Amino acid sequence: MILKEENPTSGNVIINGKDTTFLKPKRVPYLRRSMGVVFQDFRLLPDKTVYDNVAFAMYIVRATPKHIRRQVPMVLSLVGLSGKAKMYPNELSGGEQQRVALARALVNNPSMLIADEPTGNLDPETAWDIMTLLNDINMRGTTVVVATHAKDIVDRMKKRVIHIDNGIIDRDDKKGGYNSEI
Amino acid sequence: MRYNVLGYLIGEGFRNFLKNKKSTGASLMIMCATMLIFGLFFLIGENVNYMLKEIESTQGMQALMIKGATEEQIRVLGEQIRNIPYVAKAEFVSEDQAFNDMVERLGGSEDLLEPFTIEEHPLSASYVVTLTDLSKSTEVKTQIEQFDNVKNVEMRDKVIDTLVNVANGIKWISLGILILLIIISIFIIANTIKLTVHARRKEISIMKYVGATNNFIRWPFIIEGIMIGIIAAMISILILGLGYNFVTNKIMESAITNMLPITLLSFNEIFKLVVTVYLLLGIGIGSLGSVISMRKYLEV
Repeated sequence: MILKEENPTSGNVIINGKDTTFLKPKRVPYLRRSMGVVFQDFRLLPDKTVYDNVAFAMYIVRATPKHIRRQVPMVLSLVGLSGKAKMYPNELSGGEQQRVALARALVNNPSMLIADEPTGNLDPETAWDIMTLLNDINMRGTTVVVATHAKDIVDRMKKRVIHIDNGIIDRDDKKGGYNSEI
Repeated sequence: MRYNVLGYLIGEGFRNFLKNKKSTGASLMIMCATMLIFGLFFLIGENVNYMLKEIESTQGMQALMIKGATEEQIRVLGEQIRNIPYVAKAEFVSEDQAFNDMVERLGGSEDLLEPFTIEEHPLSASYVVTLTDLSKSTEVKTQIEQFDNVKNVEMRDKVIDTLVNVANGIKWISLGILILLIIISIFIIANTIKLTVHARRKEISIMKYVGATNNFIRWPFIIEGIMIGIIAAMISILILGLGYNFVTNKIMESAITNMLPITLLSFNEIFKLVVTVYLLLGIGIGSLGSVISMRKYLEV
């Protein structure tokens, strides 16, 4: 709903103070540009290198070539993939692919990062690496929303937890665990 | 900065074009075939039109005046005829001139005209009228007949009517074929590109999630379609040109030309027209086909 992939059956979606419930289809791409998104299945472009995958997000917003050349290596080093810029997604491990997706989501400095089950396809150790990375990003001043059902990760992060059941928020804890307040 | 995006979009289009050699080749061939069939009718139509123009400029009608018309009457009639629409020009032939022409036509046997002299003969002055549009000849004829001092109007040739009918028939047939072929081509191109789009639908949805606008995704595919169109146009022009020159040479050599007044356009004369029409067709069909095939996949 935040991505405007689906519309709410009732209520309004408000992002950055703007009601996007009835946003025109034409405006949707611009809404999506204002946030970075990471998916469970990474969603990288398979015939583009890591560098081009990240640069693609900048092409879309019509960034200058100079800006792209400066920004892309910077984000890649932030996620720790500087050495693999010329590789293709299928040559990377799951964790690395997710880092590329993260780099792509971050490259345009969004104010919000949405991660839909970012660790769903990863082993626990890599998953934790990604989560620490998300935490770092959060520390740098970006809102990070993570949707997950990985109990151990939620318990370890000790962040704000919003529990949604059947479309209704039934719990919202400032520093919570998966099942209860700690 | 705009330039950079443009370069990216065109580059993507080229890449797609080269990557899907098989389907690109198939649509290229089919487009060439449709273009060639259309070209055939187009050339025949153009030639008939050209012949008609040639005939129009020489054929017309003769408006005979009453005997002994005064100079004033001649001048007035000339003006009246020239004011009729579709009249290209009206040439005056005096009584004396008509007589001299007759003498000339009879060659050595002037004695046939024995009782008549240039001062005394039954031939009257006339206007030879040529038209800009042959299909309007009956209309012009009745109009001239109503003017003063006109004895009668003689049509020069009955062939005109049939020729006009043939030309119109060819025009309509080629128009119908053109429309049919354009529709077929658009569907074929749309299908080819749909294959590419289908193979890349995941990629397209990813692009949409990252925030690409529809146009941004669409343009590489449109460029792919346009390129197929342009290349098909160039191949067809080459084949059509060679074929046409071969056929016209054969016709010119053959005996028919000596019996009938056939004048054909050389390929160089219509080359520019063919190139323009083909390129427009190619670009139009290519881009329209892309747009149609993209529609379904852009909804995310």
